[in-house]
Amino acid sequence: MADKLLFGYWGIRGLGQPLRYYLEYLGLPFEEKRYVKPEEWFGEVAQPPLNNEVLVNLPYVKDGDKWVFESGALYVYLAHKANRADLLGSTPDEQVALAQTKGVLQDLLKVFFTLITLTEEEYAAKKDEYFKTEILWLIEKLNAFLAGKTWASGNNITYVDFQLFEIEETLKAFNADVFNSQANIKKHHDEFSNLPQIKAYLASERFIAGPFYPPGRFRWG
Amino acid sequence: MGDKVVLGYWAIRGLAQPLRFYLEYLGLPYEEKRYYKPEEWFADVTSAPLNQHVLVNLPYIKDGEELVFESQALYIYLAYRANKPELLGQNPKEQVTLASIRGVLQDLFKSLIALFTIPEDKYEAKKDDFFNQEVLWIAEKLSKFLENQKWAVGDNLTYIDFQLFEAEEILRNYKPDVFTTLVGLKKHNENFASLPAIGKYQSSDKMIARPFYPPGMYRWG
Repeated sequence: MADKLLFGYWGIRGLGQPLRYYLEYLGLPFEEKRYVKPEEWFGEVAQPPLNNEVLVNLPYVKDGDKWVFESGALYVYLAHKANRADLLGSTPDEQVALAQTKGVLQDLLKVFFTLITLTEEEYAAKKDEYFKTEILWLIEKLNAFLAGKTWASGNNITYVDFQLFEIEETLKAFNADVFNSQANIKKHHDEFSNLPQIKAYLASERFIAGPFYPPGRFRWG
Repeated sequence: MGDKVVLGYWAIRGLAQPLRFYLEYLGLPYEEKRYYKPEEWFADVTSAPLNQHVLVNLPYIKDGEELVFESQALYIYLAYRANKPELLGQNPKEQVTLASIRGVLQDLFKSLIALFTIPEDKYEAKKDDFFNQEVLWIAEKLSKFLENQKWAVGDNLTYIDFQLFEAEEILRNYKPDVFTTLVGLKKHNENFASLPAIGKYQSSDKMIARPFYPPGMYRWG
């Protein structure tokens, strides 16, 4: 099918950003539908064709008449669409390392969200301590896990490197000093941002620098 | 390798229960190391060989000299170990669907934890509304998805069915009448429990019926 894919998500970085890098890297022709106001999205969800889709959610990919939902599934779908099954891990070891990286990233995002969803008073009082006791060790774990490797799964890039890069971008924006202190994270970040398609994208006007999260929703973003 | 693999985890259902079902289904000879007290785990973590592993965590699989961590990675590792890679999804469509259901389950488990971590003084008053507003719609989504198929990805069993079953067991134990409206989940639950290896295991004295979560940690478990 020669038509462009449609990638739908909020007009923020969020869960969509790594998928935007991925689409650019894969070289799949695509357009975006960026939902800025909740009403835009909830209006569409309530009507055909989306009201017939059980798993309807953001982000989505529309491929002709087909809809695919769930961010985790989109990496798999798009890899096969672009004939790049290698991005799912070419060997059992790569697939295991990919899943391990995803697990650590999930834990890191969980504690980061706990931090930025503290009440305003709690956030102001506790954020530095919370970062030190709950978040820093996971960043250090991630950094140690990347030691001696070019990519998260080893020698070959996989889809988790795209998610990892967005976590690195988030950390760089949230606490540049900590980001700069983690040598392997920094190296991965540099390596990834120098991939030709990524470098071009980051310099383009398609790139969303911010916000990371829905404006005003959390204590940071 | 003729030796048994070792599954290490707390002596609760938690993240390991689907892995216990999985090991039984795979027919891999295995032993368990069940940690009853934090001190037991702390002692192991701070000595060799565990103290040399960057990703050290529970659950783990010890396979001879090799140690593998991160629960989602263990499903992949064990599928290859048992020579049953079909459990990872046999084609792109199954792999995409598996990842979709994994994403929805992630949301469901997260909402369940949010329910069970409502502060003690507010739990009784808020739990029903919270369940109806934050948990039920995700369970309904899964149930509708499963209505016309046997397993999560369609005709074939994959590792995500093991995690889905555990979600059903949490729901069914928390709210015994929950399957009245969730016919798709009920059907899946019954199909899974009828698998010979699963039926046999659930009647055995290896089976941990309760608790789901660490005793006393949450409002329910």
